[in-house]
Amino acid sequence: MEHVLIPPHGNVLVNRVLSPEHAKVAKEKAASLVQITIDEEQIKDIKNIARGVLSPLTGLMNEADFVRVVNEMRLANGILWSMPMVLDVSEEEAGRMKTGDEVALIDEQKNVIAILHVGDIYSYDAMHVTRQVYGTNDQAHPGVDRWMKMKPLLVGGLIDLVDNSKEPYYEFNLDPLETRFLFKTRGWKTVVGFQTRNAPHRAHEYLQRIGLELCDGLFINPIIGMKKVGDFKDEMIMKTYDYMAKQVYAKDRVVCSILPSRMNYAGPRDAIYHAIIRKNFGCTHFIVGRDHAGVGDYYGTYAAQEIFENIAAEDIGITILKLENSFMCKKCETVSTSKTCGHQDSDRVPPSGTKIRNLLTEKKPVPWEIMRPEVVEILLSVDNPFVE
Amino acid sequence: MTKLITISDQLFLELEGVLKKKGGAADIHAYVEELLQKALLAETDGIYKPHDEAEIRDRLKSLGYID
Repeated sequence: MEHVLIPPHGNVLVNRVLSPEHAKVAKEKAASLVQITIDEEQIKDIKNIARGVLSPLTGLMNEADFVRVVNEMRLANGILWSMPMVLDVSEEEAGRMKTGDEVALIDEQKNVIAILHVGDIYSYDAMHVTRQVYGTNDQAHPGVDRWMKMKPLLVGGLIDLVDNSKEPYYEFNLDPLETRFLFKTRGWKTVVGFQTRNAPHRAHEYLQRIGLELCDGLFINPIIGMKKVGDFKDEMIMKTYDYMAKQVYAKDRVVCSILPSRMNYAGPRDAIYHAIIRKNFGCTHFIVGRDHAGVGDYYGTYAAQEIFENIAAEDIGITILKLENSFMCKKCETVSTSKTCGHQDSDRVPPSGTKIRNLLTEKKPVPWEIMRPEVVEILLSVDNPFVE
Repeated sequence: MTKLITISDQLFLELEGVLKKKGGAADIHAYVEELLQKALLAETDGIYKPHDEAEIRDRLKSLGYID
């Protein structure tokens, strides 16, 4: 398929989705293979790899890629890559396989998801990984906590996807081939990607509007997957953004589609990872705002923007739009940033996530300066809009 | 990214012999690359779901993304 807008990362859009005929054969063969059960988030990783979302990855990382990604944010062949993509296994599971074997990756209902062609089986230092990737070993950090609970060995290798189902949110689950076709059909030469794990407030909307002023189209790509307690439920994110795309933004200028993936909360490294993913979807630009993919106060407010200062433009291959912290200013009578507002803090209403959460939890409306009333109405229509 | 591939001396001589028999001014390196490409395509051709623009268009239409 012709690369109309921007080449995928590594210049190849990976496709390891088995044809229906070969998927059928693989499913039948899986009964006789060693089987490893993977969880929902690992299933998302596997599907993303196979569909090209994580191009140029063609499978789970072998040791050379893993080590270099952790230490240098590069694959073994030098291509920029910031987040390790791995499958953890127990000693017992590793004992049942060896390099060169085919292993069936199954879900908890024993459905065959993919076939793994086993490459390296290797150990790792979780403390080193978390220090490098998250900048901390504090187990209160959700990413660190996940790594500390992982099994002791990692297995790499090519994967072939057997189960290409797109539930949940089938209607919002477009893969890179589809988004690239859609952007081309709409005649978009530039597309700005927006990563989010929240329902939209005024500051989000402001950043999206800036993107839309600069580019032909806006690709809102919410992460749908495992998040921490207190984050918005996936359903709430999709309902509120569906409202924004259909009722607020200019018709045919916005595409909203999900990124099924766990949230890493890796701040700067996540910003790079997220930019690469949206590049694979066909975006030419990617918004990085205040505390991108952050959690608590592990990262500086603009650390996720600063990391790009040491990355060559040709290595990342997508234009990063670094946008300031924004807020409603009562005297400006609009959403502004410190770059455009000459007034005092006392005139400003910042969109505090804590305040939004507390108000909604108490079933109280969020002030219009922070969130659109229609969005608030959607969020108040359920018992609890947050992950419990 | 270009990857280096090493072949044995024996294989090199065999290929050189094949090329001389075929005639022409074919470069042995280009010939090896062509053989590898064919082998790779043959191995993967039909295994993975093909890129079908008509199918993509139909799905996007059914979901309301395009008219």
